[in-house]
Amino acid sequence: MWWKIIIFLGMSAVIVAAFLTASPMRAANSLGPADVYRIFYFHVPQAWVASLAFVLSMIYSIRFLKTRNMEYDTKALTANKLGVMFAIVAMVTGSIFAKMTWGEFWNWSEIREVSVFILLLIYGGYFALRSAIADPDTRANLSAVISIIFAVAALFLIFVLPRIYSVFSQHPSDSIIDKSGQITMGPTVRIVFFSSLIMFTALFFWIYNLSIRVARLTAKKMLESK
Amino acid sequence: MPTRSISWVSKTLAVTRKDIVSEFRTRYAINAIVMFALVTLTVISFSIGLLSPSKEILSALFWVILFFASMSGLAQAFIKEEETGTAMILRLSCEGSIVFFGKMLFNFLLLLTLSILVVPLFIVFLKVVPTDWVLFIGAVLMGLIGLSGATTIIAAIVSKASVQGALFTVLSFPVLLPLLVAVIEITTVSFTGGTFADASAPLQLLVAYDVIMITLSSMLFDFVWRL
Amino acid sequence: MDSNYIVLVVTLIIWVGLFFYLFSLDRKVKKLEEKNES
Repeated sequence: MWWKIIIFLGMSAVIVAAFLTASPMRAANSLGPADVYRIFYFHVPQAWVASLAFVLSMIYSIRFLKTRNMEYDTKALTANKLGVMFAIVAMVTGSIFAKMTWGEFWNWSEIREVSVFILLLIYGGYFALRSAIADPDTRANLSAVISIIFAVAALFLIFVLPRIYSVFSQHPSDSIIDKSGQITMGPTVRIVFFSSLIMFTALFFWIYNLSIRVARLTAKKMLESK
Repeated sequence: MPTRSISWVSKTLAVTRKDIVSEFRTRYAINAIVMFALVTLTVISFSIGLLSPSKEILSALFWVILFFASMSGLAQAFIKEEETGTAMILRLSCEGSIVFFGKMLFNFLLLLTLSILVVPLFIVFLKVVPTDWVLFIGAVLMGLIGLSGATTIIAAIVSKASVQGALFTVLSFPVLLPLLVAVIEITTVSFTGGTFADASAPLQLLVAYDVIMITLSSMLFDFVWRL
Repeated sequence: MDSNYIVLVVTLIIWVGLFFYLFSLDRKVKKLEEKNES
């Protein structure tokens, strides 16, 4: 009970702070007004949660193949569903930011947009496969296998895509993380950003837990009606 | 255990030979793949033959043709087994890895036949000649190995599902994307007169992809094959 | 600065709505689980 209140107050505080403290980008630059960069407090945690969901579903797919416990299949499926949700949200916030700064909602020369698109294609393939198999055991098995193959392909893509896009990328990494990979943020920005990250992660696990419980109840109901 | 490994190889070749023989009877997969490739090639030649596309675009188009042509026929290897009910006999008579590598070799030979037909036509129709033939042929061969290695297990997965054809493409594309990126880059180098050194990074990537994908697929194959 | 407040209020309303939806869902699920237990 207490942690729900913490999530509620914490996220509210993050929202208030994100709009009322100074923007992460101090002054308007050639790309747009400084206020636009406030989306960073929401967009980055969303993208982080989407990749967290992806990793989670991989782990549960491997555990399913090891144990053949249907519980893990439900967990992998739920993680994938939430992953799609957060990936779409991150894609929308990213597109809005792109429109405000670079003038276009979508740009094929932008690596992050392409990679989130491929992530959605992978999720799409996963769900298409699941809906095409009727038998629950076969479905669980095959979708676990394809998840692992997708994960390895995604690892390759992480290496491959920057190679083609190193010339083009416009993603504002330098403003937040400098070239040596160190975070250069002011203290306020840092506090707001990391609280947002924590709150989004907590929110994700809450929704995740709820969805699994709903899935369990549905499965039980299906069994009883049979 | 030398005798065991010899019998493993000969059994694998037997699976491939069986597929080749049954393919020669119906010629279903090879017809689908070759016709698909010819149609795509013709469409591309008609639409851009009058323009003068850059070599980068041509090397991408070359792999688009090979990719979609292989999507139209490679899934057949397992779908046919499931449809005619011979999958069960195959499952009883030999272990998973033999079936996997046998089918993979068959798919590779199918793609090889396809590219022997398509490569000369592509060169003639689109007037592009590789300056470095060794690099070009190497890229094609390594690409085909990766293509057959990664799609064989997907074909096995798809054969257990409905709406097989569409699903096969949907599942294969994200998996093959790193391969396509690397192989298009190497082909571009071989068209534009670069050397091996220019293509060393994508070549390393391609080799790593082939090795890892084939190892992973052969490890996971039993989970798909023996349900 | 005014537009910042508008965006802030809209975001807060969405968040409060989402939170109470999740909260009520949590309670419903808990009740159903208890019913199933007994």
